[in-house]
Amino acid sequence: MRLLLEKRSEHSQLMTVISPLIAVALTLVTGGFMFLAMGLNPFEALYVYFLEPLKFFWTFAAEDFWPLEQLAVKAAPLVLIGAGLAVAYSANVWNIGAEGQLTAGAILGAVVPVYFTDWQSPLTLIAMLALGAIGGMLWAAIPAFLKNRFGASEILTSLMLVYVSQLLLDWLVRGPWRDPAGHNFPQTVAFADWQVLPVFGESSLHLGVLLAVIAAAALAFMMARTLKGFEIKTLGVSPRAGRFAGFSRAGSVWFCLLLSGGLAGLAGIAEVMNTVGQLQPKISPGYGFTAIIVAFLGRLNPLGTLIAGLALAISYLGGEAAQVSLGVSA
Amino acid sequence: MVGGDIHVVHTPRSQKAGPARLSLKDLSLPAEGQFSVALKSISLDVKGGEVVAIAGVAGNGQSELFDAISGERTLADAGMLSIDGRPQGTVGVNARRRAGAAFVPEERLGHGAVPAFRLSENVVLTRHSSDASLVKSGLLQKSGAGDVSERVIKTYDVRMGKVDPEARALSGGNLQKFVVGRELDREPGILVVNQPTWGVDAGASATIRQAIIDLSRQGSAVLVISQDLDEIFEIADRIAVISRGELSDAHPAGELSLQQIGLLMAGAHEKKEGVRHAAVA
Amino acid sequence: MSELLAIVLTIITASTPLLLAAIGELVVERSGVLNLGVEGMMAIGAVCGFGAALASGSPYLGILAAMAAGAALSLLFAFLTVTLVSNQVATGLALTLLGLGLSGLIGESFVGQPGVKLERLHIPGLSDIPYLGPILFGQDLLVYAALAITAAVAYLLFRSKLGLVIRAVGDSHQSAHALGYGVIPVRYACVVFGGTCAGLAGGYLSLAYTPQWIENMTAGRGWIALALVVFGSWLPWRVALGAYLFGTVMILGFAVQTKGLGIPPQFLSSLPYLVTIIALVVISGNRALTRANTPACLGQPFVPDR
Repeated sequence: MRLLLEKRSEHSQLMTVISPLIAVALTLVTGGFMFLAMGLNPFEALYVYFLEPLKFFWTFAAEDFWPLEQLAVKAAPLVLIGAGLAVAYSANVWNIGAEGQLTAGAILGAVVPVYFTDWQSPLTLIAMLALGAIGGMLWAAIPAFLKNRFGASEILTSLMLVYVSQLLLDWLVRGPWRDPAGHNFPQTVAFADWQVLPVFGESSLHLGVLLAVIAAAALAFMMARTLKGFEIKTLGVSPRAGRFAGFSRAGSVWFCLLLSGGLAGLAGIAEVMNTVGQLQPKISPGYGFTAIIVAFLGRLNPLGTLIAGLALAISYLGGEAAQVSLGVSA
Repeated sequence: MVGGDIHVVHTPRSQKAGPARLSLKDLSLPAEGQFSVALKSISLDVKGGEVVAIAGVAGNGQSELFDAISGERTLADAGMLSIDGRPQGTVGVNARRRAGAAFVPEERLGHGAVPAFRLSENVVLTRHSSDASLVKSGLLQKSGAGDVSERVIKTYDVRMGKVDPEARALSGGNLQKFVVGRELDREPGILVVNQPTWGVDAGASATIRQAIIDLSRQGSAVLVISQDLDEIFEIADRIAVISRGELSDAHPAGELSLQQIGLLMAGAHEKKEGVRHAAVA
Repeated sequence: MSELLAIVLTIITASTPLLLAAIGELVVERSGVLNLGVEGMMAIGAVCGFGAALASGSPYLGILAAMAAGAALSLLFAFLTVTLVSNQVATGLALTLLGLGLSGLIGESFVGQPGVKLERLHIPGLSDIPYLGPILFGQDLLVYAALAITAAVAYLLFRSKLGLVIRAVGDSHQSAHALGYGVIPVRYACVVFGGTCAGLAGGYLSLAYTPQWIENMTAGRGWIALALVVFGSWLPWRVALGAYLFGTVMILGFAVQTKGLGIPPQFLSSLPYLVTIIALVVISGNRALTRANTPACLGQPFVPDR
């Protein structure tokens, strides 16, 4: 007779809360030791890295400048991408190439300003956003296909495609898409004002911010209340039970990669439209990678990525502040 | 009352079996990986009102046969498997459920139930496509799932520490009662169970076996795959034996002795080149 | 012909860090752990190696520092994944992001500084043999070390009891545990070995390949090393062959670029990444090959009391 020893305890609520804290603490300690080994004062370095950004926050608030606006604009791409990744990771689909899908989305979306420079219509913005999402989806479809057809790890293929997309962008802005009137700078024509997302009132809050909030809420609803969300969670925690429930593993790979890729592409084109204003060799400060942290910090809950996205956006603002105040490149 | 203190299973012998509700015809399936067993030309009819048991030593193709019948692995030819006369071999597990079949796999945690899901969520796991009260236009109906879960818990005496716990918090016997009860609650026309009482305490075993027999006496076809010969003799009307992916003919339980089953388990019915072993009984 | 010689020599230096990182990860994966933090450990190794060499003036102290830094980061990973049983994929990704971020921070003051170069060996007589001399006897120490580590790993994994235990732990941790082998200590040791190798690979980049510090100078090599383990189907000499093939692809790209054939340089630069994808597809598509050698418990958490 086979003996079955089955674990009875449910997942401890305490551990769920504590384990990320332990991880953060260990990270700080390890980081501190590294600084110490390099002959730097670890406390000073940690202070600059983590607390300086908050100080920056207060300084600007005192000058009657509304930094939450900037924060929301920086958080928007992180949330948009992070919410999609949270869904994908819940299904154990490890798309870590969001930075590449962001780039692909920006490239395809920029087809409108580059080739249809004078096309001015209410459809212009919709076409650009749609092309951006499609670009991200196409780029994410490659790892999805390779995973389902050949079993190639999506972790590695999606990551490799980041480098490929960035080199493609580099080639485009230095070659065929370079603005002929741009004094030989590697950049496309600047987007016209009808190729830019509308902003709310006088602020810099653009439509992309709203899209990020909507996406996070919609995906949270999908995960909590729909059969599709149930399918994704089931395949993530128990593939065998997922098969027994009649859910398709290959289908979830397609769904998760296209969803997270599409959102990354959308973030890419929105970022290019409203923050960068044209295609350049570098269009993102690594939003696609930071969004991986956002997804995990948000406990793989799309709504959690809203908070996590804002938290990590502070570090971007802090980096800009440090660049200004200390004259160092962050 | 189900599951009392005295564990006696009542088996009113079925007087007349109806037409075949589950038919396997020349069912073959290649091995999947080096540790898997290929199924070779398996044929079996299970009629309404009877319990047919498949005996055999573990690792002779039982789980492969279960996957083939449940539709977790689909078959090359639709006619290899028929439910109530309709060929269903090429469709997946949910289509077979909608055709009236229900399945209980051997592994409770991680196959029959998701360990980290609550019982009400585990109801959705196998019944989302066949039960309209659980999913409406893509949206989960939590109250519907809760109702089913409550009903199963009450009917099959599932005992637990708190309301709607995660599946992994239940003991083996109580989780098995839940997993079997979840399917019985649908009153399926065909029930296929792999190792119904493996690693389960005596009280829960009696509850489960009684419920399986009761279902068959209402006119359903029940196929039980088991390694437990006591269990098989307790509940089966007919018995077949699987060895190395081949299935013997099914014989009425009263006509088979333990020795004959032992011979079949050793592969007496297998078709070997040149030599045709004498059929048993 | 001296141009061809220069190309061959560069191919060897380009392949060595890939081999070092991949052979370390091979041992980690053979023990059933998937550490996706190779890129991060390499970056930390590169910056710490560069800094230590700069401070001490000795490239060999730099190498030691690089190994120690990689090992330290991998110890953190081992604690999180083996002891706390956190998700290996998530923790590995976090480790990569942490390593890249931390290396940028540590290396802020190193940018633009001339580094200390790990010199090639020169054995009088032998190294002076035309063509063969510089290739066989005129490399830096780590080129030989990488091949020696490969040979040692190949021997230990498949010819020693220690290797048998490591593979048992990677193929069935429950059985290994039941037989009385310490799954957790074995995994710790393998993860730290992998981290040491990754740190060494990073140090090689900043001390021998291009003796300077540039942020993100690992440029995806850690990920390519991960792909190489799959490409080599978890066999040490196949991984070594793969590393040298990849080094060749990388350098031939540069070589073609200097010829000015009108091929966009970006296309040539993307070749290693495209080749990685193609190699993964070819190897992963061959189920018989991958199934035979993939550690069965790769990436699965181990909880001893179950």
